[in-house]
Order: sequence, then C-alpha cells, then structure tokens
Amino acid sequence: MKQYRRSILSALLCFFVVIALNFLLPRLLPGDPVAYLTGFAEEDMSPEKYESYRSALHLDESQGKQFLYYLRSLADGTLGYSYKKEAVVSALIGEKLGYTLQITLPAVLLATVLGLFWGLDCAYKRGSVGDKLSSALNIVGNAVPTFVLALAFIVVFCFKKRLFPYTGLNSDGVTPGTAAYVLDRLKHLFLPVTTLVAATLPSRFLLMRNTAAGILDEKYVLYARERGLSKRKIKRAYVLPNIAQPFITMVGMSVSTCVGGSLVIENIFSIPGMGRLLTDAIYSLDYPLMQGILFVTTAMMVLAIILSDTVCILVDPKRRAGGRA
Amino acid sequence: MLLRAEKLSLAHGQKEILNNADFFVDEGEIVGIYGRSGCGKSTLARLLCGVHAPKSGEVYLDGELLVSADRAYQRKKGLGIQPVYQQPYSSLDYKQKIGAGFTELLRYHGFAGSKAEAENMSAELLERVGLEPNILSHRPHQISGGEAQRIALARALVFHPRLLILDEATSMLDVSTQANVLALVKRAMKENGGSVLLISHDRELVGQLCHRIYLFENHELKEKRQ
Amino acid sequence: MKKKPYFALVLGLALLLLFTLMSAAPGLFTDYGLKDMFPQWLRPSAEHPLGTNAMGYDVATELFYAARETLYVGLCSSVLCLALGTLIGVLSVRTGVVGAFFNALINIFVLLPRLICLIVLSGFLGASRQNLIALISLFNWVGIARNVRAKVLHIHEQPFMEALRIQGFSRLHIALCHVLPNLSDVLLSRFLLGVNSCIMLESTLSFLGFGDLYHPSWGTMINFAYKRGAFLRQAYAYLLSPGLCIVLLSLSFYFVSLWFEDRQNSIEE
Repeated sequence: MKQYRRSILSALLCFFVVIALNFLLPRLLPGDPVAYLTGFAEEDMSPEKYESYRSALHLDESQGKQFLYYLRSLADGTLGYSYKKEAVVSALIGEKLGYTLQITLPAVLLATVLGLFWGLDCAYKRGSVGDKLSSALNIVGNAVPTFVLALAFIVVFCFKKRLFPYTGLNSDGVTPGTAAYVLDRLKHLFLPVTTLVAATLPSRFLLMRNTAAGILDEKYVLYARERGLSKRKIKRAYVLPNIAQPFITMVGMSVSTCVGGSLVIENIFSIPGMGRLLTDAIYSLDYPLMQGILFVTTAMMVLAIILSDTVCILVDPKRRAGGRA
Repeated sequence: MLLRAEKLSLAHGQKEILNNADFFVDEGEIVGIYGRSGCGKSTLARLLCGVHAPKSGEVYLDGELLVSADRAYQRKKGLGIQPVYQQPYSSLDYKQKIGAGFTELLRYHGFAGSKAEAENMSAELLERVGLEPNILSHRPHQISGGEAQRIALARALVFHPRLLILDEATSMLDVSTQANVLALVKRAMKENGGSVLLISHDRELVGQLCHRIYLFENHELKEKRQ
Repeated sequence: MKKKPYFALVLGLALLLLFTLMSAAPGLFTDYGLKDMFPQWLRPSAEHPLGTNAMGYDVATELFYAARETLYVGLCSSVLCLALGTLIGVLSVRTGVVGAFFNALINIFVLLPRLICLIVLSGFLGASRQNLIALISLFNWVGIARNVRAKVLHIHEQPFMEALRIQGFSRLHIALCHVLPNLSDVLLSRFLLGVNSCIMLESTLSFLGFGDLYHPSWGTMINFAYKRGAFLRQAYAYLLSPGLCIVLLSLSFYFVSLWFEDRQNSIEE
C-alpha cells in the first residue's frame, strides 16, 4: 500500500511539474510573454491590440493571480485559448485525440501481446535456431529509429508495390458511415499501426524473452524439472506468475513510447492527430496549444502508469495476502 | 573488567530482544553466550560493534563508556572490538583481491606506511592464521570457506582487539576446520591479551571452550554454572 | 558461464572505428567537397554511389560529413546524461530529505513524455546544437539514474559494507573505494546504451525539423530528403542511406556494450 501511495504522489508531483513548467516558461524566457502566449510578435500588433491581449492574459496582474487564472483554465477544461487558431485548446485537441488513439491503442495492444507470446516462446526454446534468429532480428529492429522504419515501409509498400495508401485516414470520395468507409479507414490505418508495432515490438520482445529466460534459468525451476513437473505445469506455476508484473509494467510504459512514436508516424503518414497538431503548433509558434498538448500527453502517460501500477499491486499474491508491501 | 554491560535493553523495530540485562567479560576470559537460533544473539553482537543502538542501558569497555542510549558509539574505542561472522565471505568485498584488502586496512589505520611494508605485514598475518601468502592474489570467490574465515579472523586481529566476538563463526565449517580455527583464536588471544565472546547455539561447544557461560532466553541473560 | 561475445565485440569495434574515421576525416572517403555542384537528383552511379540531392550535392559526401555531427551530439549528450544520471542516482540513495528529493525527481521524470517535452522545449528555446545537447541530456538521464540507484542499493545491502564500517573506514572512503569501483561496470555498459538512445532522440528530433540546420546530422539529411520530394523522384538511396548508417552506428555501440555486460555478470557468479 505504501508503494501505491508513493506512485500516486509521484504522479501528482509530475503533473505539478508540468503545470509549473507551462506557467513559468513563457514568463521566464527572454522575450515578451505576450508574444509567447499569443504567438504574435509585438511589432505585428497595433498598440490597442497589444493592450487588449495583455489584459485578456491577465499579464498586468500579480504573478500569484496569474497562476490562479492558469489553474482555473486547467480546471474548467479549456486548457487555455489559442489565438492563432482562435479556438479553445481543449476543443482543438479533442478533435484530434481520437485519431491518435486509433493508431496508439491497437499498436500498444499488438506490440505487448505479440512481444509476450513471441518472447515466451523463444525463452522456452532458448538457444535454438529459432530463438537466435528471433533475437537477432529484434536486436537489429531495436536499433532502427521509428521514422526510418516508416520511410522504408512506405518505399516498399506504397511506391514499389502500391499496396497501401500512405497519407491521411480516408481516401476522397468515400462516404462516411458505410462499410466501405470502415474498410477504407482500416486500409489507411494498416501501415501506420504496423509501423508503430514494428518499431516498439523489438524492445517488448527482448524484455519478455530475457525476463522469462532468467526465470527459467533459476535453480528452483531446474529442481522442478528434475522432480518431473511437466513443462506446462512449470509454465503455469513459475513463469507466468513471475512474468505478470514485468508484463503489466511494460504495458504501462508502452503507452508512453507509443505516444511518442505516434508523433513521428502521424507526421510521415499525414494523419491529422495530436502529433500533427503539435508540430503545426510549433511551426506557427502557437504556445498555448503546445502547452495544452503537453498537459494532455502527460496526463495520458501518468494515467497509464498509475493504472498499470495498481493492476500490478492487485495481481501480486504477496500483497493480496495482506502482508506488508 | 574488560567489558561491562549494565541494564542493557535492546529492540529490533517493534520486537523486544533484551530487557535490562547485565553481563561482563573479564581480562583473558572466554565467555560464551548461547541460546536458540533467532533469539537476538547476533543483534547483541552488532550492538557491541556499533551497528545497532541500545534502547537503554550502558556498555563500558576498559572502564570507559562505549555506547549508551543517549551516547553514540565511540568508534575509535570500538575498534578494539572486532567480530568474526557466521558467513565466511560476508566481511570481504567480492571484487577486491585479498591482498589489496589487507593493504587497504593496514595503510588506512597507519599500521603500515608503504605498500611494500603493508605486503610484508599481510604475509605475516596470514602465517599466523596458517595460510600461504599466495592467497593474497586471490579474490574471495576463489578461496574456500575455511580459508575465508581465517582471513576474516586475520583482519580482525590486525587491531589487536580487546574483545574478539565470534558470532556462530564456526557453524558453517566442517569439524576439523572448526577445531583449527578455534585453536587459532585461542592462541592469538593468548599472544594478544584481550578476551573472547563466543556466541553459539551449540551448548557443547560453548561448554567445552568457555570459562563462563550466559544463557540467552526470554529476553534475559542468565549466567549459568559450568 | 556464458561464452564471451568476441565476435560481436570485434564487429562493434570495427564499425565504431569506421565511423570515428568518417567523423574525423571525411575527406578520406570521398574526393568531392561538400559544396561541389552537380546536376540535381542524379540516380546512383559509379561517380555518385548514392546519387545527388536537391541542391546538386553528392549525397555520399554529405553522408560522410554528417557522421561527425551525429556522433558529436550523441556523445556529448550521453556524457552529460552519464554525469547527471550517476549523480542523481547516488544522491537518491542517501537517507533523509536529500534522498527523498532526488528519488522523487527520478520518479517524476520517468512519467514525463520524453519526445513531446523535448519538442515543446525546443520550440520555446530554439533549435541549435547546444540546445539539442542540453535538452537531450535533460531528459535521457533517467535510465542511468535508476540503474545506478538499484546497483548502489544492492551494494549497500551486501554484508561487507557493514563489516567495513566496523573496521573503521569512513563513509567517504567506502563510497570512493568500494561503491564506485563496483559501479564502474554498470556505468560503462549503461553509457554505451545511453549513446544509442541519445542518437535515436537526436535523429528523430532532426528528422522532425528540430535539429540544427547549420550542422546537418543524418537525421537532418533524411528530413531534407523527405521535405524536398525524394519520394516523388524515387531517390530512395538519399532517403534511406542515412537511416542505414544510424542503424549500424547503434548496433556497433550495442555490440560493444554486450561485452562489458558479460564481464560484470561473470564476476558475480
């Protein structure tokens, strides 16, 4: 239980750090806070416009009051206002978050589940040709950056073979709401999701395989095998319980890697998700939008990790028995 | 008296170990403390070495206050109390060569000046515990349990300790090595002066070797007649 | 005991040597200068093994010169990561407020989304080589810190630590002469792996356009290729060869790190 409280505390602190960072950065960096918070340079504005921005951003009031205004914008769900796009930040993010999730969630699922089964299989057969080849493949795959993988896939599957589309989520001319639309969407999602899976799978595989191999090499497993326990019994009694926690932790961390990875994928495949929104925001110097995205992404990751920690604690038989953590 | 403990109370977290115990060790004596495994004998040993603090009471070494509930362990004086543990390898850094360990010890405390001097002294020390100097170039995982225990003893003897504490020090050795090590201890302390505190769960062993015995039971130390 | 991965070590060192040579003296690999003009978008041929790019420069030449930039940023940031990670990892083990603070720091940075923070911060601070090195180090030290912390905690639990105190050694002496040497193996292999993740981050950031445009690394090259239409012109060599170099460089560090990891494990057996 103590560990549970500690991880919640870390999460809250992390939030606070991001909130403070978001608040302090525009005000501490050289340059005009108005420019940072609206994205417009002082020279481009008439004095009246400048004044109106200043008062709208509460910059003439004390720092403490400004922080309270900022907290309120977080609490009431608006996450600030983007002057460049002239819309509330949370609305802008809300539109695009769904598309990001369409890529991230399947990728997390596939990468972790595949990593688990493939890794376990190779651990059971460790030393065999199949294991050596799989491990070698994944070691090389781990060294390939996500964007290189994406570009390579596009070259092979879109240009050389023309099998899949490489931009957007839907082709023109397909009406939403039909089965054809769904199929079209799946066709467009195939490469991005596959790329993200291929990019994150190697590290998941290696983690699962090495953890499981470590368990299987332990003396108590050797004794169990000598005692005549069947392979299946060993798997169920020794490997699976010991691998449950690392696996769940891995899933939690996968959310964060996939969120980062999807940024690159959305850029290359021109998917209008949150990652694209972020790069647009940076090119157009839309700081409020940038900060909002940072906040939302941190929230997603913190949530994922807290969730996985909680599940870990629930699953751990030692803790469930009521002993000390 | 060499060592005197007055109204000593010990606890390990919530668990009470000793309650208001008195005991003493005279010059040149071998005193035994025996009791069931797990009753807290090692914690008592660790208190005398300064790793654990008493709940109440005082310990005096050669008449001067060594440690009490209010006063921190006087490390300088406490160097005169050296332990030898049950686990032979537990006092050795597994990455450090034996010789390097001795040189470090001798030079840090000023027993030797140069590296050459330290190496000579190390060879002498090893001889006293019946080991060949070639062990100096080995690492702990390359020597046997009996050898490791003798090295631990040699390291303790560097300080010419007033009190040598053997905490189940021979429990993990075979019978003949046990006898060897105990004979070494007796000889070393006779040459040295000082006393021995023998902690064990083996009543026979304690009975054979010790001048006086304490029974550690029910959070008390009771002196037993021989 | 496992067999020593000699083959991997030799391969890794050979590749590293190649890339170091490439960084130090790119002129050895190519006769062309960096700004020698040729017709644009030439296909790979005998004179231009990788073709020419949108500006008409030889791609292979650009590749060799960019090695220096990639290695420079990668190595500088990973050295900083090592220093930062070791310091924070060691401090997080201390008892009291100091330990609690640095431990909390580690736990917080684990939760931060690395790439997004880097992008947002480089958006605020501007993209230059210095900023890139500083930012990457700022977000990549966590892995090393956690390993250092775990290793130091493990060492503190060893019985010999207590024995050393009883034998009168000061805490400082124990830290310098017994804890640090035990740490050195972990640090070395973690450093090599850290270089890999720094290189990955640098490449990804450069590809997304946040790299230093005046010191183009391999990632920046791919960004140029991508943005200037390498796909349409089917200049795949231009697009993918820097990627291949990144992969090879990562693998070389990984292979070398394998050898050090084994050595550490074999002593503890």
